[in-house]
Parts: sequence; C-alpha cells; structure tokens
Amino acid sequence: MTGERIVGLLADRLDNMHVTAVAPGGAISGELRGRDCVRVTFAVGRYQWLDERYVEQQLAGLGRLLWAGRMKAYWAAVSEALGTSVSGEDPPVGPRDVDYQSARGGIVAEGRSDDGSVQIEVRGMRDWTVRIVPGSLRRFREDEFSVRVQQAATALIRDQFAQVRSLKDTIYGTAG
Amino acid sequence: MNSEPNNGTRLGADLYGLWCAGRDNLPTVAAVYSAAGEALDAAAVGVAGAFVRSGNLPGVPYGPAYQPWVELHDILAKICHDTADNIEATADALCVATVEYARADYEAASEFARLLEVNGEPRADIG
Amino acid sequence: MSFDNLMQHAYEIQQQATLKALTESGARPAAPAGEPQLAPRHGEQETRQRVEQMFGDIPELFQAFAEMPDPAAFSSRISVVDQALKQLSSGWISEDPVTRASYRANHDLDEMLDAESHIESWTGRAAMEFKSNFISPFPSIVYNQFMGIAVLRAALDAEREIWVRARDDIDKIAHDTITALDRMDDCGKNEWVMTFTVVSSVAAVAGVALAPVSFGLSLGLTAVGASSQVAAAGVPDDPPAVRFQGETAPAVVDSMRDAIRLLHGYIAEQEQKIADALTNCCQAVAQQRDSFVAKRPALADATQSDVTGPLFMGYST
Repeated sequence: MTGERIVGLLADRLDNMHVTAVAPGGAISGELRGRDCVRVTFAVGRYQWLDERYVEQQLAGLGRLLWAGRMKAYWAAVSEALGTSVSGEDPPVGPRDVDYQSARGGIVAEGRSDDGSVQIEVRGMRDWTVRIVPGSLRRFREDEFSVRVQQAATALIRDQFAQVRSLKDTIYGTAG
Repeated sequence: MNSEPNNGTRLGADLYGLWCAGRDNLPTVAAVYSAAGEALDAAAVGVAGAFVRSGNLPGVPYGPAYQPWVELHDILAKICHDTADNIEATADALCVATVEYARADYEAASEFARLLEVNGEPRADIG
Repeated sequence: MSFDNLMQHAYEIQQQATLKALTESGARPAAPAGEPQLAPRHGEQETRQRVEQMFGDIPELFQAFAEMPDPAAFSSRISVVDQALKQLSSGWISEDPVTRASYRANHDLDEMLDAESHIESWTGRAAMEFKSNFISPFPSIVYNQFMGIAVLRAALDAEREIWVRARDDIDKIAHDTITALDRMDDCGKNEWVMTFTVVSSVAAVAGVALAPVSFGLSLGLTAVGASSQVAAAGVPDDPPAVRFQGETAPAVVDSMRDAIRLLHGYIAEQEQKIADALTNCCQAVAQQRDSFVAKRPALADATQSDVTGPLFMGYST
C-alpha cells in the first residue's frame, strides 16, 4: 500500500469541519476546526476580570454547544456522502447494539493541558466538567491560557474517540 | 364479371399496368424489406461484444438474453430478406409476362408502347 | 464521483480498510516504497500479511464491474433496429407496443395496393393466389412483422437499462463503503442503506396482440422493455432497501461483499426476464409463422415459357 492517500468525501468534510459557538455569558467564544482542534478567545477586555469558577462553567457550556454544532455538521456530511438525508442514529438492532449504546453513554473522556492547569471531562458527551487550577487566570496571559484550553480540548476529543474505538472493538470485534 | 379475355388496346392498357407493378410498385415494396433486413443485419454485427462480461459477473460470457435475442433477430432478418426476394422475383415474373403478351398481340404492344411514351418509364422510388 | 473512477475507489477502499485494520491490531503500515522500512516489531509482519490477505480480493471484485457491458453499445444498435421499424411502419398502425411511440407510416408500403390494382384483373391461378395469399394478408403481416421487430428492439432497451442501473448501484456501493470506513470510528452506530435500482430495470408488457392472418386464435407476443420506457409500466415498486452495518474494517468490507453478491443476483434475475420473454417470442413466431411471413408466391417461380399460361397469369378481363 503505497502512494498518495485518496480521501473520501466524508473524511474530507470531517477534516475541514468548522464549528463556532459563544459561551452562555458572552465572554468566551470557541471554534472547532477539523477533527479535534479547538480555539477559545475572550471578548475584548474581559479576561482580566474573570475568575476560575466562572470560566469553568462557561467553558463547560461552550463544550456542550461546540459538540452539538459538531454533531449537526457531522450528520450533514454523512447525508451528503450517502446521498440521502440522515439526521440521527437508528434504534439499536440486536443485543450488541444495545450493549454498545448503553456502554457508550457511560464513557468518561478526559483531557488535560500539558502542565495540568486545565482539565476537561465529559460523560456520555453530555455532562461537561471543567477544572482550572486556582490562580491560573492570573498566572497566564490570555493567549497562554487559550493554548492550555486548546491542549485539554484536543486531548479530550482524542480520548473520546479512542474509547469509542476500543468499545466498538470489544463489543463488535469478533464477527464485526 | 366479363370473362372474355382482353385483347388489343384494352390488353395494352393491362400490360402497362403489369409493367408498372413489375418495375415500380413491387420493387418499391421489395426495397422496403431489403432496407429493413439490412438494418437488422447491421444491428447484429458484433452484438456479442455488447453483451460480453467477465470475472465474477453473472452469466459469463454473454448472459442468458444473448442467445434468444440472436434467435429472434435471425428469424426476423430472414423474414425480411426472404420477403424482399419473393417480391422481387414476382416483379420479374410480371415483367417477363408483359413482354410475352406483347409479343403475341401487335395492337396490345402498340398501345403499351404508346402508354410508355405518354406516361414515361415506371420507376421504383427507392429510399 | 462517477462510474469512471470505480477502480480508483476500489483501491481507496482497499487502502483505507487495510490502514484501519492494521491500526486496530496495533501494527503499523509498511513505509512507502523508496523510504527506509520501520524496524519490525514482534508479529507485525504476520499481521500485515494477514490484513493484506483479508482485503486482497477487493480490486478484483470491482474489476469485472469496471468492464461490464457498456450501455452505449446497446444504444447504437437500438437506433439501427429502429431503422427497420421505420421501414415497416404501415399506414394501418404505427405505434410501438412497448413505448407507445408513434412511427410515421412508410407510404412505400402502400404501393402493394397499386400492384393489386394492376394484377386483380388477371385470371391465372398464380395471379389469383398472389392476390389472396400475398396481397390480401399483407397489411396484417406487415403489422405483425413490425410488432416482432418492436419486441426485438425493446429487449435491447431492457438489457441496456440493466447496465445503466448496475453502474449506478456499484458506484453507490463503492461510495457507501468508503463513507462507512470513514465513519466507523465515530461514536454513532455505523449503518447505511443500499437500494438496488437494477431490480426495477425490466418491465413486462402485457401480451402484445397480433393481427390475425389465418383462421384460429392468434397468440400474442410476450415483451419486456426498459421500465423507464414502458408506457404501461405504471409507478414501479420501491427498489429493495437493504441495511448494512459495520463497526470494524473487516465488518464494513464484508457488508460490501454482501452488497456486491446481492447485485450479482439481481442482475442475473433481470437478464433472465429478458431471456424468458425472447424465448417465448421465438416460440410464438414459430407456431404461427404464417402470421409473420407469406409463403413464396408461385408467380415468383414462373418462367418465360409458362408465365402466360393458366397456371400463372392466364388472361386479363
């Protein structure tokens, strides 16, 4: 298997996905690019007045919104690739589907920044928890803090996908 | 029906009619069948190549429809060619008959010649 | 993305499936040619070989489809058969029994009537038989010949339709497989639906009635045509929809193999419909040959010495 990789339509759409959202309070905006690249920015002049508790809640809300946007874009891309409108998963058929869906709902994915100052956790891609080491907002400039959020988010997304893959291999692995 | 055989001028007119049938009308119809037969022939040239498939596709090499299609085609093509031949042969017979009748009746032959002069040589319009 | 890229898609499927399966089993793909190979880990070479074997048949599965009958090869023949239909379109009826398309009457055929007017006063036996056995049934015979050729033409339409739809179906199988491979690592259930449009390629036409020539019932002809062309086909049933699911690369590729197998079966079914109709037609024509062609007139074999005699032309009145 050599030579240039040809990319399928769905892969292309997922690689080039772009989703944006604004956290409920309006102070923080986020964008998801491609599969797992997340950037957050703060409204002008707001960063210096925010505290860790507030930012934790806002980032959790932002996570939920970005992921909802991601799934919407995902279903649009799948519809395009299959040539037919698909907007959600079909109900489980058979015991393996049932096992998979219930186990999937219990997956806890986690991602941290390289220095551990920002940690994001999500259960079932629904319940988001963000933990920021106290003092981080004063310690880091806005751009330095954004980088840490980015690292944590990317690690989280990769962890989620890795656990999904592992779960699928476990449940569907032997005969597919 | 008047069962007295025509002769003389009346026969001459009948001969002209036979000649028209043999040189124009029947050949025109025969040409239709020749053209139809030729078209069918052309359609079948290399037709196996259209049906051919290989590998794990079903019906290698030509699929189940090829043979019956060729069979029906050949039946219909032969019908067209045979009909063209039969009509042409009949047309020739009418022309031969015309000459024979004219040979035996001088007045009829003159009338026939006059009608040919007046109306022109009957010709099939082909195509 | 079109049928022309089918083999490209086949290699893409093989490549993607292999990469995913290797990742699943913890092995790394071989480095591209010309680059230094990675130092082998324990069991990696065996895993690579096993995975490559698993997906080695993929290009071959698609190759036959890439080379399957070309609809254009039928299109050109269909127009040629159409020429024959145009020739034998007579004034009495000129409607294709399958498509209901109208054909302008070929007035050259009307000259048979002119011939009749010139021959009817002749009393010879062959002359009178020519009138009763050749000229009289001529309109009905031409009608039936037209019908026979129309059935022949429609069979080509039907065969062509199968391959038009097979192209679409195999193309969709390829795309759906690629999509499934792209999708299988995502959190949702990886399933998709395949509709096999080839299933409704061929439509039957209710018995094509023939003009009676001799006494007795005339058998109709069985005809099939391309369902998109058959005038009386009505709204076709929805093509069968088959669900596929695959959460691992081997499972996705197995679904693809199942889909291809189904497609083979449906193609065979549709071709058999055409074969059966044509076979019935040949039998029907053989059983009532007089309805399709008149016997060679005795007049055709007259000679110079006997043509004017009572057995042939006789005399005119």
